[in-house]
Amino acid sequence: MKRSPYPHLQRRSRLVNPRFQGAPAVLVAAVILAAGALVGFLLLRDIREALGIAASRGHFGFPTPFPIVSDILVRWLLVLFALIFAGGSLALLWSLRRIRKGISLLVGAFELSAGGDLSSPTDVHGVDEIVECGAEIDEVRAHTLALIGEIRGEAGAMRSSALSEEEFERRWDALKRKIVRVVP
Amino acid sequence: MSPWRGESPGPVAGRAFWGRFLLYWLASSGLGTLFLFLLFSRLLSVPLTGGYGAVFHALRRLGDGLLPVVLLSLLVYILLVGVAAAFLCIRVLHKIAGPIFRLERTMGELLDGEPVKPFFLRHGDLVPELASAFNGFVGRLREDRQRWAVVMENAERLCLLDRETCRAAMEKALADLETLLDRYR
Repeated sequence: MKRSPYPHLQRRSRLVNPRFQGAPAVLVAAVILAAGALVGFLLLRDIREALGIAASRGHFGFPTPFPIVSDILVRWLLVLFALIFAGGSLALLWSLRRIRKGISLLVGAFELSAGGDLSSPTDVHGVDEIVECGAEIDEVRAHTLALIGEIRGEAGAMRSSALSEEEFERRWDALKRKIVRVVP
Repeated sequence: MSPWRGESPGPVAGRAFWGRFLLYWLASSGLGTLFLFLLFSRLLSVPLTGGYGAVFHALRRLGDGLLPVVLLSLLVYILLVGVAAAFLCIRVLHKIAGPIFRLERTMGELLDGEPVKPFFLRHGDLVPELASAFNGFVGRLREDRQRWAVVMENAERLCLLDRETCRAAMEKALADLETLLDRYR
């Protein structure tokens, strides 16, 4: 394999799969947008109300409007922070739970395969990338089962038919080559 | 076989990883909120001068003109925190997307008939069970393939005696092979 002459400068790809990594990012961004819009609306309403009340009463001794609205501002910004931190964490955890569930199904498929069951479908659902990986696992299992079926069929055919010595030896060698093809 | 190349990080690494993630997320959202607070406090720190009338009008004008200010500030905030969140999501899921991508590539090689190497994880990857399961499947297939090959080689050894024994041994080997293959369905 060709090695980079500058291994310390090697670029590490972070975005391996835009669909897989992008979907939860979009979900978290949607939570931020929704929380921002909600808090923005309520903050604007309360600040306007406080400024209106202050203007109509007219007996304030504040040098700037900030002290009039500081309590409201702090309260709503704390709510915004809590909503975004909790909502974002929950959105990401929910996405990860779906991915984990799909991965445990993939693990189950490999364990079934190791036990000899190469035909039961993986039946993975949920995240598209995991579903695609499940389909690929099914393809590998079907491919392996087809090879094993060929070997089994050939062994049975060789045993049941009266082959000449040369023909038997030729098919014997071919069978050995077929066996090597199962997990090269 | 441990799915990790070198020493296994263990479950503590997973917890440390989540702890770091929560810390980054707390810092990003906290800094974003602090930025928003500073922005609003600056915007709302216009000095109130003049008498009652001037202050009344200034506060009224401020209240009426607040919508674009709040909208713009929140937009900047959403963009900042959204970018931080997207970066964090990409970083977190990289630890899962990477192994899945490499697993798919390994399976593609298997389908193409290329030699299959054991599937190792990088330090910090989050799906060790998937790598273990794949290596277990391939390992079991390899063991079985070895067993089938041994059955055939044993029969070939008997060919050194005479032709008839050789043919009988080979046919017996084929029967044994069929029995061994029966576990796969």
